[in-house]
Amino acid sequence: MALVVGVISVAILSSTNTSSTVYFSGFLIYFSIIALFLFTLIIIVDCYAMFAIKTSTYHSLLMALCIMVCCLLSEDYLSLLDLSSAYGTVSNIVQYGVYTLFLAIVVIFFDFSYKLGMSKKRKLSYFAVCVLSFVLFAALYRVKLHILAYCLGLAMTVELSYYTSHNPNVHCFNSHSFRPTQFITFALSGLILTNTIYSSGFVENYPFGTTSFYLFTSTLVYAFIYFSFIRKATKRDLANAQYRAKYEQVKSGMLQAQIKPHFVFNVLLSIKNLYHSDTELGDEAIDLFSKHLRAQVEAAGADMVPFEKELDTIRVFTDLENIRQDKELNLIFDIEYSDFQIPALSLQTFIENAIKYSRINEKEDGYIRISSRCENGEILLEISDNGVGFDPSEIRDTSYGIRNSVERFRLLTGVTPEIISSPGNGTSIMIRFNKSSSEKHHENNNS
Amino acid sequence: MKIIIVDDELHALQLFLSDLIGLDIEYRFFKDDKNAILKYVVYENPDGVFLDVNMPGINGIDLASELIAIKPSIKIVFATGMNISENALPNDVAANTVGFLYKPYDKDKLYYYLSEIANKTRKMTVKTFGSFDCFIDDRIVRFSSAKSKELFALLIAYRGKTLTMNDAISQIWPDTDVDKSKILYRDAVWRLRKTLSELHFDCVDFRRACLVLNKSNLICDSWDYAEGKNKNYNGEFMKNYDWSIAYLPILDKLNSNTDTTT
Repeated sequence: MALVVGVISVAILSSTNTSSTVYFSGFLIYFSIIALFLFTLIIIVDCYAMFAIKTSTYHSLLMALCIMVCCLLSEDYLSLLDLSSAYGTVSNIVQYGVYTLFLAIVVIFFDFSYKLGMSKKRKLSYFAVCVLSFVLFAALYRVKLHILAYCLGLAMTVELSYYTSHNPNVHCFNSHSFRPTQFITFALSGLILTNTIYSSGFVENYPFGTTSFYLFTSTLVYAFIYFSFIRKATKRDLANAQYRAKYEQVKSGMLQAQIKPHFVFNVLLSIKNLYHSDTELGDEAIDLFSKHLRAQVEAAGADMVPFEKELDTIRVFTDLENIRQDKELNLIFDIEYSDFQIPALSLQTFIENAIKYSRINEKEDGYIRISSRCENGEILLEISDNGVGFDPSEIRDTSYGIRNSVERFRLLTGVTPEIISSPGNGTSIMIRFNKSSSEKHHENNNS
Repeated sequence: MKIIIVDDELHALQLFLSDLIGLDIEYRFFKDDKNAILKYVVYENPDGVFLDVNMPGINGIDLASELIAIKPSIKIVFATGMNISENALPNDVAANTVGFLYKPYDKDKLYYYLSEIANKTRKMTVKTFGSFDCFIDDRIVRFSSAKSKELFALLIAYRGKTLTMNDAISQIWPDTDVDKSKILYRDAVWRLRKTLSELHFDCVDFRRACLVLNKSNLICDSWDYAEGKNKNYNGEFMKNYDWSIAYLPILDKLNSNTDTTT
């Protein structure tokens, strides 16, 4: 649609005036319309992101506002206010206003850079660049080389946007506090450029004045910045927010599944019994039970835990089970490699299910085995038993715990545990993931 | 050794009391009376302090800072019901913190921290004549599984010589097939490592496919016997384990040697 409007306006303009300058002006209008169209699109996309992510910024809206305010400062509007007689004075006022603002920007910019989690060296270099650019900017403005001043402002904007989108620790949406600075720099430098070009006489016959020309340049450059950097960061944050929401849901499911009143009361009963026969054993059971409860509480606050810690949790849990059962559970820890992280309490669920459904304790040589090894940078984790087995397609209906564990594995490490079982042949849960992937995935989602 | 225990709840103190009686420790209980605690530390110079973290009058971590300011060498154990991590402590406190004792207290942990405060190297006493058992601070070591205990017994019998995986398997699991026995070996090794690290007693060097015992903090009756330091041998050596029979002739020979010399 923008194309059509642009072509029509170019056609109208070229038919009414044959001068090449005017033809250039028409060309500008054509582009301003495209730019405006793009800008609207960006705002719509950003608004969507804003509602989808509650902590969202008002990035594009703020940008639009800044550009609009700067438009009001353009010479078109100043002349509309009928200050043409005092035109020189107004121009000076604007000029000094720009100076003051720029100085303010330098100060604010320095202040905000603290919130970006930059290194001290980087902050200082930023400050140096800010001061330098202010001096340069003032000097350039004096000698009427406004285009360079504009480029400087632009370069800084691009640099910041680049930094935001390429640093995973800086969230597009959480650290948007620095954005106003960015906008003002950008919008003002655009204004200066526009005024410069307009007063240089290059587009003297351009019928729509500085405002539309300004809109054109600003939006086009903004669109460039948006699509090269900001969009990427927005997408990333949107994905993270959706991930987070999903994960929170799964996690709360885990916590609910973890609270098992019947287990707690059964353990309490067996502890009570133990105290009647042997107080030493009772003490031990109390220690085990408090370790177990502590592990459950800790899991509520952690996403990923060291594998060794999860194994400890399992050992405590199975020791508690052993107190209650007549026959000791044969749990084999076949651990060759343990230097990695897994979702909290994810293995415990698999073990619990194995204890509950595999009926290994009815077998003479029944066992549950946890194996972990590292082969060529790939971690192989397997929980297997030689119990009765089951049909994996039935998990959906029976075990909420397993589904939840599988889901958390998928969300936190990016891998899906594979459940291999058939009636009569035992069960095996295989998890394969890259040594580095578990940590990286986790960090990204935590930042 | 002097220690103080600070907890606002009386029953927490009572539990401590039952454990401290009989130990060669001068102890003093405090409720959350900060001035009394500071005064005591200034005048009595205790070696260590067990601090609760959440008390109505004072915060244990803040109190720890103040105590360290008074006595920089004081050792701190946080005895608490909630989870705190070392990262939550300020640097000066973390440097003096020996560890965390979670309620309800685990006795083995308590004894370990007491020996840390006393700056005492703990010794493990190993009993091999008759049936095999180990003791730290007069408390029996509970192994995570029977086989991990047997593996440790074999290490004791090896007296610091390198025990390879194949040696261990051929003696502890002689009738099991190779693949399965390797799995069982790894299980025993992992459990032994866990038991020892929970006791904070790292006397075994866990290497790839072999184990080496560090004898320095171990007191073993059969080793002493071999060196002529005791004569407790009664013809029984680690009698619960089949492989121990191989050691009996050596011990019997030593026995007859000592008999002839005396």
